[in-house]
Amino acid sequence: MVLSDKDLNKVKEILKPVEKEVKILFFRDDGPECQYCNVIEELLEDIHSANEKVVYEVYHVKKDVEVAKKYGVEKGPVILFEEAPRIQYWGIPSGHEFPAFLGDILLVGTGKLDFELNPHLKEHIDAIDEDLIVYVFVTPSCPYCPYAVKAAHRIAYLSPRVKGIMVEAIEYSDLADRYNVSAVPKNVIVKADTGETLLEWEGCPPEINAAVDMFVHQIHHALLHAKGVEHHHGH
Amino acid sequence: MGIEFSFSLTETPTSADLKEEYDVLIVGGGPAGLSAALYAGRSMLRTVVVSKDFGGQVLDAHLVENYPGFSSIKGSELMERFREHAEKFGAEMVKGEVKKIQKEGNWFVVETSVGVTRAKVVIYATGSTHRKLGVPGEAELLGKGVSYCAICDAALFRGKVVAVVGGGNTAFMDAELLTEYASKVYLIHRRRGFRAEPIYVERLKKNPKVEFVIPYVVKRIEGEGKVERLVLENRETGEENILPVDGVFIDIGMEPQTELLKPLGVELDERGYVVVGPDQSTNVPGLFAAGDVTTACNGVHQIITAAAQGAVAALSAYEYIKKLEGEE
Repeated sequence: MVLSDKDLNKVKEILKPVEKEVKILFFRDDGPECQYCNVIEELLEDIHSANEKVVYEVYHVKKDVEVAKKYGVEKGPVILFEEAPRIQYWGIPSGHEFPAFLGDILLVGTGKLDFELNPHLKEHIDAIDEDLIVYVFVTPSCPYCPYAVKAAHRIAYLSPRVKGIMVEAIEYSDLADRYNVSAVPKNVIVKADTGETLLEWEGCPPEINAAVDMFVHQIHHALLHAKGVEHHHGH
Repeated sequence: MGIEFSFSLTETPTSADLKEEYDVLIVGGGPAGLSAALYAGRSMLRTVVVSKDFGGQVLDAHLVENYPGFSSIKGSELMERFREHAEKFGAEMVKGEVKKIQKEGNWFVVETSVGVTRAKVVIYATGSTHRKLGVPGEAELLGKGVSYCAICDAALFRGKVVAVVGGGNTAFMDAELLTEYASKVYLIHRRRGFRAEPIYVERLKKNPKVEFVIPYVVKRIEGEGKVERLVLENRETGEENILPVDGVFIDIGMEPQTELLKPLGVELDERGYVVVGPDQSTNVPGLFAAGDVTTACNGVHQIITAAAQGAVAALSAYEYIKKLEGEE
């Protein structure tokens, strides 16, 4: 057990509205490269004990190759939701990321949005016509990061073209180095097929509506820019 | 470092709905605002706190070691207790942003991101934001080695060389946190003396990873796409030095946030702080101010002093409302 009794009761309270089964898939690894894999398993068991509608399955990235391949998982630890596999956590959702994780369980388990999806935003989300990955690099002690994670995950929930990935920058230090992460939250929009970085920026407003608004508009601009570049090459 | 699972206040699922009318509306959810809410709630005043977050700057504090009764507590946990305490006595917490405050007769009409309301008293407790150095490279390299949030970014500087600029408690706390990750921490300060509590200074002096760089100021932050070096100037000799670093954390103090008060004609001092009397009143009747935004903070940006001002402001608000109702 990694959660205290007090925290477990809070989790119970927060997850009360969950209506349907939420299946979490956890891809783990062995050895030092998966520092927190055992803790994550314990955490998922704790959450399950708080609400039995939340279930989880554990896979091993190197042994359960077929399942890992199906979800495009190459390295552990990765957490995703079976019903919404585009919502992903690369690394442990601890510290300030924990409430974001609980928020995602609620989102999947109720189907109810916890922010105001105005027609303007919906139009932009529906118009996303490229497969994108939105990386949100975090540290668990960063109080601003969960808003960025929530925003990326909500867009991933709503758009079949977007994968929203929380990346714990310490556990995934290679990836963090590749994207020159020296402040969090750092957000990177990448084209899924080519891996081309379309846009990157640091920071996020600490309010969910403003955060979603920022991410939707950044994606919109990134796509416009990408298309402009392609158009130019076409000539 | 142990694994922690925070129920950060910033993510608290409950936000009350904004009602049409209150006795006391508190702008800002830091220590001053939440303490005012506690005291106003206990005075049986209909009280609401409107804030983007509940905890304010304390949420950025790794560990708080100087709040009586708690020898060491996480900033977010202390603020969660503040909030719960205020709610227990009836104060409501509304997550949102105050956009405009106007006075109409004896009422304040307050426009927020979640609707319009009115209140007999406004307690203004918006605190302050990070002061910038204002040197070349600071804005350009923000997020690329320049940081104002050590608790967010310290862990990204594992094995690297960093500098902290400042001489107050925050600078020393951040430097101490950074020694957990960085290979070397320079503490750059313009004077030979420090405003920080001696206990912090003594602790850092003993830390082999820390080197004091005094009396120096930062002239420029330089690097290609990321911070690579600082150009420093010795304040006594005028000599310039280059200090190679991978990151720089800026902790040179705070600036009061008073934009909302300008249309109300609230008196500010020459540095921009809200001028308050001993009862935390401003020159606008019914408008009280508390915490880091006021002249009463006297440069002492502490949780306990902000909380004390919040308590005084709420009790003054109670007297003001009683008098107001006596006149009606």
